Amino acid sequence: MVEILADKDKIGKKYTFTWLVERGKIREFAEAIGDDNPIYKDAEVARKQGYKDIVAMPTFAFASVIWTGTFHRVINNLDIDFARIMHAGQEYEYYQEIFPGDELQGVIEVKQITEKRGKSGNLEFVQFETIYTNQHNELISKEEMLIVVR
Amino acid sequence: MEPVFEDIKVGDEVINLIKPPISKVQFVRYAGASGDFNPLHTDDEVGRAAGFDGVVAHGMLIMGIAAQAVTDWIPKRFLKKIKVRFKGATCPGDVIKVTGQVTDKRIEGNKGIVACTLEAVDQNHDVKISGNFEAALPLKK
Repeated sequence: MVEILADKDKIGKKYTFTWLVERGKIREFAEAIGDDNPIYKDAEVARKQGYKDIVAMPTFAFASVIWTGTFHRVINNLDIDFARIMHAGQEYEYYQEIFPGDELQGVIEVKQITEKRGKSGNLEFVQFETIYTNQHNELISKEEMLIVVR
Repeated sequence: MEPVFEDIKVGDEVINLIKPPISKVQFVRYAGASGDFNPLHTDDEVGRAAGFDGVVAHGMLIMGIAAQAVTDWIPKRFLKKIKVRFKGATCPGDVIKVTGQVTDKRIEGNKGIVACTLEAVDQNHDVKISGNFEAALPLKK
């Protein structure tokens, strides 16, 4: 019998969330990564470099999926065991910066669930796509995430 | 100095960042910043139960470091695409080195698009991340 690791009926299902971007969170995120670029903490330097305020780091948006509880909601809804997932890949396409005070609106979709036979049993790859927009309805970024369930 | 599209050549090594040894404290800070409190990254026992020597880094922390290496080279607003695959776990004490090489350049409208590889390895040359990115640079008038 083949063990089922994720609920395939959920392919195509979308989950929405909103998250207010705080200035301190942008700075905390950059400091956790150890990135000293002043555009993440000094609004004056950021303006001189052509931004209207400090901006968020390239990988910042994903924090909204986690902080809003959306990631847990999606994984639970797919009947996936948290202890068995590994992050396999991540990608972004950027259209607009994220600024402090932005209200991020995200829509995460379960795009694909693919089975693969591994040496020590079945693996399942689950692919997600998240579209982020802001309070002005501007497209911010598109994010793809690949996790493996083993 | 911002890189100039016309001066960039395919094959150029444009990304080069070596980070200080990564620490458990950094894993805790990244957990707090990102909201990812999976104990695999903060509790040695959970790390050992998963088959590692102890805690391992969040993949997204290493991707953040790779992105830092990119925006050390080009202004962040020029970055249009970044894609990584996670290849191996990063342990406390590992020294992450990020490199990247230009693979293609082309003109789209009034922008010069530069495509590059992106790789993060440790002190033993074990690959943590491999991927690529694209940047859109202004053209000389």
